[in-house]
Formats: sequence, structure tokens, C-alpha cells
Amino acid sequence: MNHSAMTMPEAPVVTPDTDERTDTDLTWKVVVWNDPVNLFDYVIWVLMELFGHSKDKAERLTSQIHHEGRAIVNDGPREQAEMDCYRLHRQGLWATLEK
Amino acid sequence: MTLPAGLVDFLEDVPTALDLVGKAEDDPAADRFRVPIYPDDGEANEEYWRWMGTELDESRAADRSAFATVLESAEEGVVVSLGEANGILRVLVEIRLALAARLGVEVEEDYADLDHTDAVVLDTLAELQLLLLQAIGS
Repeated sequence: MNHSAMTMPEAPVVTPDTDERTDTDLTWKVVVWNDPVNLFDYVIWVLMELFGHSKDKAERLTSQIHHEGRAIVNDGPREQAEMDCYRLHRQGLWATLEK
Repeated sequence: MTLPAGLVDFLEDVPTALDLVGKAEDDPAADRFRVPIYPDDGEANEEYWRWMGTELDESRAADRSAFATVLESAEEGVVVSLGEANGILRVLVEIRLALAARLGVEVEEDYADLDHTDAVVLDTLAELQLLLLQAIGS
């Protein structure tokens, strides 16, 4: 192979469109929904345990869940949000994700 | 916390009852244990449960096994760690969710239509859950 006769073409430079965002860049919201089974005090405790929320914040979120039907309890990259949902489901709460 | 003997007898059947969730066709409890995390994206939801479903099932099975072990010692008194207490809580929540789903409780108002015995069972499990929460918090 004669390397001196070969010239490598320049690799095209791709500048990502600044409006493009990958899915991993988006912040996903972790939503807990009201359900007729889970106890008020239990939901407060779960939110404190899983997310480190203060008791005040956990109580406000739980009250919102109860009165408005849902509340955003945390947010973050998709992978973290999915893990949050998993942990909430494991504790028996009804949780979903939205962008 | 000392549990009445009758309650222990009832609780001893809980792990087996939970293992049967989803085994019967159209078990409403099965849907409650597989909540769609992406309600508007069936494909993403399927993928999530394909990856996480087994792990969640195994975690639940481990909790039930630990729950059964605790009950075996219930008459003699048993001390559990915080982690074990959380596991017991999760099992209590699961059985309440399963029972409520099968009894058709979809909104809080549905409790008023429950048979007295069914309501007592759900209430007793709720009281036990609250007692455990108080013990964990203290």
C-alpha cells in the first residue's frame, strides 16, 4: 500500500442545529396521580424517602395530588425519571412521565 | 407491635395471594401492577416494561418472601430493620391495591358500596400500614 499517493478526504464538519435536542437533553417530569387506595400519610412518607423532599414540600405535593388529581414530584433526564417511576411503582404509587 | 392472632392468620395468606395477581384472565389487579408510565406512547411503554418488568416482579417477590419470614416469628415478637419495615409496607400496599382493584374501587366514593366485610379488611390493612408508618417515623 503506497500511503504517499493517498489523500484522505476531509471529513465533513457537522454543526448540530442549536434547535435540535436529543431525547436525553429533555427534562422529563415525574407525575404522581391520585388513587383511592394510597393513604395520605404514606404518600407524604414516600415522597420524603424517595426524593428527599422536606415534610412541608411532601405535604404540599400530596395535598395537590389529592385535590387536583396529580402533581409533578420530580424531574430530570429520561433515564433518571424512569428510575424515579420505577421506585414509585415499587412503593405502589401511580406514576407516569411527561415532557 | 403485637399483632392479633387472627390478623396474623390472614396476613400469612397475603404473599400467596399476591403471587396469583395476573394469573387469572382479566384480573383487574394486574393492570394496577403494570401502570403505563408513558400513557401516550405505547411503544415506549412496552419497552420500559420489557426492561423493568422483571426487576420489579423480582423486587416484589423478595418483599413477599421477607414478609412471610417476619410473620413466621410474629408470635414470638420480631425486630425488623428500617429496610425490612419498608418492605412490609410495600406488601401491605400491594395487597390493598390488589383487593381494591378486584372489588371495583376506582374512586374514593366506591368504598361506600363495599360489602361490610370487604371494607373491614381494607380498613384493617390500612390501620396496620399507618401503625407501621408511625413506628418507622418514631
